[in-house]
Amino acid sequence: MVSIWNPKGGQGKSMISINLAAAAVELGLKPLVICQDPQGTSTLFYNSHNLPFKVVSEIPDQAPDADLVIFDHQASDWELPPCELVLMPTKPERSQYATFADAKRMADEAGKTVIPVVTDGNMQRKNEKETVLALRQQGAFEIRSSVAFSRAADDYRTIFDPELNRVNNIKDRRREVEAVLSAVLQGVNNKEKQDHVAA
Amino acid sequence: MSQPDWMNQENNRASKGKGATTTNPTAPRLVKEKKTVSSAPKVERTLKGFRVDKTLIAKFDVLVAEQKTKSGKNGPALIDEALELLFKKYKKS
Repeated sequence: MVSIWNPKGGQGKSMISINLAAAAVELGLKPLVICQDPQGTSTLFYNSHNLPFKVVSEIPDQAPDADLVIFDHQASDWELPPCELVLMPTKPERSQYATFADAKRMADEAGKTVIPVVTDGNMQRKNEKETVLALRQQGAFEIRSSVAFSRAADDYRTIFDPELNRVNNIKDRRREVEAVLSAVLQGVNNKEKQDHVAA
Repeated sequence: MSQPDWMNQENNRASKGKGATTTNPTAPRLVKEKKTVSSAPKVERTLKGFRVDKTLIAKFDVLVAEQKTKSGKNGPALIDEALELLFKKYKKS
């Protein structure tokens, strides 16, 4: 299980949730997205019938038949998410980063494993480039600003949809999401190992 | 490439906070509705019809609505509980 969390809105929580799930499908896994956002962005994508995985709006009362459960949290949610593994997206601008820093400090204090992801960075802008590179040096993953995401959102698709195969630089964006997925799966595996040892 | 100065400033500012403190702790916060899920074991059920006092049923409906949010118990679970109390009263195992 992984929580996609940042109290700041517009950082890419839903975009990461659905594209991470799509990347998991490409690996042959069965993901489930639990949309915890009243805006229902992930649910809107699901309702388009273009997603190869399920999005549900409530936490199932029985363990779901899924290899990876992704919680898409809502903006303004300052309550620490229940998952031990927390993926936190942030844009590379100061006011966005400020909220990320506050929320990350809370997650760190609570002993959560945090995967930082810097989203929507435009490397043509010197200041954003500096921030992206600094965050990457600190271990953050990067999902760069790209037309691929807006093209995909036009039809409520993920960037892994074959319809988008000819979009410019699509392979780079897919690779970035896959790198994030590998970190998530590594985090999930580590947690399972710890639980096994503890048992 | 060096880290922007403001990142250090923001990190220092954030590190001074503790617990759930935010930059504006007095602002209204989102309160999430807590949903409780009944952990009662699944039981095999059957239908049984009764003619019941209308006023009791009205009270029962209100009780079910309250308990669903408080304890997660639904109508059938509360009927089970009522029957158990009846058996206890009349000493039936």
